[in-house]
Amino acid sequence: MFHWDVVWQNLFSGLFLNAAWTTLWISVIAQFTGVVIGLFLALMRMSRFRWLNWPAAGYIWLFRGSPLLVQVLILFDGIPELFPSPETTKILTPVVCVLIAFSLNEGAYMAEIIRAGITSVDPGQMEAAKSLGMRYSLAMRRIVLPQAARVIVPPLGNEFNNMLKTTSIASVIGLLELTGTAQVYGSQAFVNFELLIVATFWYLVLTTGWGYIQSWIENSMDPNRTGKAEVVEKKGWTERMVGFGSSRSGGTLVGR
Amino acid sequence: MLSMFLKAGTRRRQLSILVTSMSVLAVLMLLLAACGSAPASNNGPDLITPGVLTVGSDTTYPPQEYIDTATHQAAGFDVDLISAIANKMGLKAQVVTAPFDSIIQSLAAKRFDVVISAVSITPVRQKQADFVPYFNAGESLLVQQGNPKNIKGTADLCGLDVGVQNGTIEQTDLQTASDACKKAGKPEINMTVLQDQTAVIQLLQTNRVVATYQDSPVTDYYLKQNPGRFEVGGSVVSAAPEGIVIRKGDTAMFNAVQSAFNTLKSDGTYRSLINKWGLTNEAITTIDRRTYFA
Repeated sequence: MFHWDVVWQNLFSGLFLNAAWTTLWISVIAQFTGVVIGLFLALMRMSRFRWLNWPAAGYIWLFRGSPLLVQVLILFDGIPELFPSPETTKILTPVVCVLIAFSLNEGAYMAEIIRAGITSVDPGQMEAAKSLGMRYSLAMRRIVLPQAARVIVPPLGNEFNNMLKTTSIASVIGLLELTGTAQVYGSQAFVNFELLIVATFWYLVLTTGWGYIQSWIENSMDPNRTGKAEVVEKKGWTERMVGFGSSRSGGTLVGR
Repeated sequence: MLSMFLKAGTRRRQLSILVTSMSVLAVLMLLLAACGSAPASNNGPDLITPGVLTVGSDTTYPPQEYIDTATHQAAGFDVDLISAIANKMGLKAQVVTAPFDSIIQSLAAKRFDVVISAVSITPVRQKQADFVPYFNAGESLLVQQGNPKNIKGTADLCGLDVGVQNGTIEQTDLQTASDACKKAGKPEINMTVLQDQTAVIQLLQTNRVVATYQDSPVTDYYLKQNPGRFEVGGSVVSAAPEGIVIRKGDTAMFNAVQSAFNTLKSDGTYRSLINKWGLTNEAITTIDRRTYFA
């Protein structure tokens, strides 16, 4: 028994619009904070000073090495047990727990992505900037990071896409984002399936929207703007699917 | 010259199509083989695994069903009862832990043969499944020691933080109470709805909520487990029968479970299990435990 009417009733209801909004703003804030944390961690990680390098490495090791769900639960259940006072729980509301845990976790991943981006820029660029009299921070800001950004943005987009979906973890501590809303309101009237479909729809709306924004960002950061005119070899389907076949004989050159 | 190359190209393509379609076929056949193994026996009720009564239960609800930390096995009154029922049916009970909020759908989807999980019998649920009544439980509020907010019932919860498990009748009742608050011009109840009852109690332990709402045996269990920490807010309300859940239309299973249960009741096993778990109030018809907690 699948009730399509329940799906239509809830698809554009205030309940799910609200839930989608919660999912969106939590993702945006957590991702933004994550990028900021990641940038500083990446710079620390690449530092030749041990007292900068080691803490960053330790942080990344800790947060990439343990599950996000566990981190959320430690913040939500663990910390209040450690400091049992009404203030602790007043500060560590579900939303705050989720934002902290997601940001810290994302910071660790972004650190590695940003480090990869910075490493990909020719060291000669930094040397040239320094020989022109720029300080490290200025050279990093004006010369290296803008070039690194083009390498960073595609995986960053991936991370944000993941973040939109990872927010579903927040439902475990009772936050009413998309997944939580579907579960809580679905269980009473036996319409879990229907509401999960509605939630899926909204996740797809959010991730699809982000897909467009990401390609726009990537395009506008492309120095040559060659995206449209680029000519690629169109491969046959066998080659794409199975990895052999018409590589030399059937390939055609098409404009993208 | 050119035609020779073309021919070779076509032949290679044909070959690759052949290889691809064969591998796709092989995968499909494997899938079919994996799905199509469900031999049905014709004596007695249909079982997922022959000789085993697969029981779905949300094992976060002590004392009725929980995971014993010492043995790592499901334990509790419900577990003992369904094991005894399975024994009478000549089967061995195997408890599968499942989330409560979708446990009846999972039963319909044949994840288990029956469900015993302190499921209260409600008209909405009766449309989804059949029930063999076995227990009588009320609902009660667990609050901090001393009852600082002076909570006597759900009507006192307007504007307060309350924890409840997802999919329970307590969730529905709190929603009703919250709507009543709204109608009376008071702030709504701020509900935190979680998947596990253990996580709900955790909310009270860390002072995130001022009360949790659950079945009265569960309230009493946590009261006993944490002496001097909690207390019951007000009295037990709306005692209602709980049932062993049987898949809709599974008459063979319904009759088998019902008759096994009747036997256990007449031979005294039911009574001894009730006594073992200290649930004497729940076995009798109506509960009024106001005197019990005075």
